[in-house]
Amino acid sequence: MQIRIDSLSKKFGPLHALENINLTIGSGQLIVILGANGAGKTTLLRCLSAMVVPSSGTIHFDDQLFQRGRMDLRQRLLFLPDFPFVFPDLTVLRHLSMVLSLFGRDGVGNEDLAIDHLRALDMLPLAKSKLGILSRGQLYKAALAGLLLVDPELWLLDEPFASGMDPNGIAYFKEQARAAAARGRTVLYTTQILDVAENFSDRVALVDHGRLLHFESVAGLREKENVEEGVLEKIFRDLRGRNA
Amino acid sequence: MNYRARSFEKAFKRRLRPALRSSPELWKQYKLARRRARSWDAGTIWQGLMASFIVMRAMINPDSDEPALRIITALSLYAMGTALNRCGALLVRMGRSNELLMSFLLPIPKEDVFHFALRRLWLGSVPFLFVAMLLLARAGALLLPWHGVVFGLLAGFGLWIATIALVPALASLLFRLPVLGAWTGLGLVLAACLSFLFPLSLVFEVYQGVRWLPPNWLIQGLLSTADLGSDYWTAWLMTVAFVGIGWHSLRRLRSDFYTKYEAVEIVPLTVEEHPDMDAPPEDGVALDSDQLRVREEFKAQQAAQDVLVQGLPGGEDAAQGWIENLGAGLFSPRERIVCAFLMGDATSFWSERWRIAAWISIAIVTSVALLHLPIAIWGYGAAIASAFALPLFGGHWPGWEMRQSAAQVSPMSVAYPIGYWESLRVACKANLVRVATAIPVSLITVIGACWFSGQPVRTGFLIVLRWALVICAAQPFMLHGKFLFHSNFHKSTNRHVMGYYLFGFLPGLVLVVAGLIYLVPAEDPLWMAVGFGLLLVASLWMAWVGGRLHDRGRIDMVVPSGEQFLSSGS
Repeated sequence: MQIRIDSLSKKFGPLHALENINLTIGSGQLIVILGANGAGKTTLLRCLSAMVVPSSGTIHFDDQLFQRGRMDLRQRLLFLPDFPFVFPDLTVLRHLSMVLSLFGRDGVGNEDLAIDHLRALDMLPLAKSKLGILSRGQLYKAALAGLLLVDPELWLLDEPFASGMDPNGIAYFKEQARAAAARGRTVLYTTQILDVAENFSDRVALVDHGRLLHFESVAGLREKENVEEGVLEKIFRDLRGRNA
Repeated sequence: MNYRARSFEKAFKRRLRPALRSSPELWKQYKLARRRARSWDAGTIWQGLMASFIVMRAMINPDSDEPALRIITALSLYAMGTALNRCGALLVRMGRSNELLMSFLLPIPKEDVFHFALRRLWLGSVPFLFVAMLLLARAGALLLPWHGVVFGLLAGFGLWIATIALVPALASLLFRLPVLGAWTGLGLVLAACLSFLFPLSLVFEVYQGVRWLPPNWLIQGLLSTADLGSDYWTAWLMTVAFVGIGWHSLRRLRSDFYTKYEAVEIVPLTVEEHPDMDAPPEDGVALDSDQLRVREEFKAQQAAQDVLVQGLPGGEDAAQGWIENLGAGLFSPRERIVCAFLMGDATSFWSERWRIAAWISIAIVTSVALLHLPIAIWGYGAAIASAFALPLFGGHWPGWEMRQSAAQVSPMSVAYPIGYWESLRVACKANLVRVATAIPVSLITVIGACWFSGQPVRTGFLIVLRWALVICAAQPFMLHGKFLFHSNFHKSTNRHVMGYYLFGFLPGLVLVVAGLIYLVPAEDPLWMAVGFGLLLVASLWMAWVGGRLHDRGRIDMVVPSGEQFLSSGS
């Protein structure tokens, strides 16, 4: 999916959560959105999922204008918030079943894939457990399994590395996200963990006070900043010095 | 709960400004954040407007036909509405509020949580105090000599005390249905506003029902104290009785709350037990850990296949009620999926509510007949049964419930590809089925009441028919409200939202009020039909304009926690 963001701004009252963002993202990329608290990372993901609407500017998916009413486009993406939206009284399986149905992927044959994902996430024994009794990490894994099953063209994940998932869950997510990007899916996620961002992304989108400061590969940033290791940490240090 | 370190705050504030001033960038951000914090809240403004409307309408009083009756009718409705609304808010605050959650995580004694809930209760009813004093002063001036104003003011204060005392008593009755209580209360407050626009004949009819409400006993009694009328002692005895019952209920409520508070487990981190997994193998040979693990996995796989192959939400553990099954027959495959999502885990909710309504109706008809109770009792029974069986405010849809996302809340449906129009269509169809299935229940009570009161049965049929058609016509409006309530439309002042108010909501409201007051009660079937047509058109118009707002992306489906429309101040 080709994503084109033109002059995107989002205001909450007088606060500019996003300001004149211009971005073109090709398919098959793994993109990390970085920024300090309140920089506008989550707002950008919410705009891309139509949860909030831009104050100005547009978003195009494959050259088609994206609006909340475009159900065909909304079925091509899935947004996984930091606290997944689930019904606590549904079991893990019924949640997966519901998500598959809503995205029109409820054909026979998904069960093997579901079992594989649940097994890999150590969630198979919990398949018939209600979501309301799971721990936070387990809940996120259940929602992640839904995303993996649907395998949308655009993955939007808010803070997957602060979701409470255990190392095995995180490793599986990384493996699947890489594979998805290789299949042509676009994966956008936010994080505050710079080590992860540096090693697990094709490109870095750095947002500061609603403005897009960088959209480059880590290698490109290293070259620009003339630093071998810890380039993101250096950029953040410089930013903070400038803002303080 | 008001935990503060005042000396720290003072010292901090003294240091804050110089620290911010040292950097222009920091100062700019601080000013922006401060301006943002001062944004207006339309929820509070709407509530204030409703209260002001009641007062102003009563004070201006352009028509001279029974103004005191109008005031007393409106005030009785407003008092009952306030009691129910505050009761709902109190129960929510003590049962599942953010403050309650915080109190589990912080070292806050349960007494403080309870007192905080009580303080919010009386603070939230202060607008009612002003309205009650002003209206009763006006009524006192109309009914009595000059000193009626003074007695009216005193009566208003007494009514406020009694209304607050009524809240804990109602809370012990409605502890399972806090949201229903809050919404019914809001409905009565709206009815109080609209009652000033009713024709006099309708006010008389409403008054016949209202005079059986506890606040009305007090209003009548308290006003009669001015001329030492026959209800002089009764009024004061009633006030004392109300306060006594309220005090007793409050003590019980407190004791229940403390017991529950101490028994709460915050988050169980372990997985629920599956006793069947531990069943011994059939041949009696003990299994080693690997075999057990394989066995568990096999069972989970079997379960996975069972559910996933069905393709639709719901499994062997999701028993549906008969109304739900009836509704499912009307849906296309996609609509069935959307409906299953919107219903969430409440797969037999409609049938359960219908069953309760049926029992209430039977009980009311039987008791009115056997005990020769006043016919107004039937009215309350029918109203309660209706609240159970009918989707009065669009129905209960867990798929639109709010969920936390970052520091805000959003409706669940926004994270999934579910459209406005398909949701509206599905919910409308489902609600029409609920209305259709509720008609026989309503007929039992209404025809029973007509029978006992000597009215022709045809009158009963007409009442049920009118009631059912009004609810059906209101569904698009009610359901589009669910989308807007869960968005930031009340915080937005952009031209699209203003356009919605000007060209969608206000004209629609005028049509609804006009249709309800002048056409729907008409005897001529043609005018009645025109009235329903008008209601339906207005309702569809508002839903259409709201849909444009939603689909064109003019509102955010994200609201800061605790700032949902109509939740503020509760």
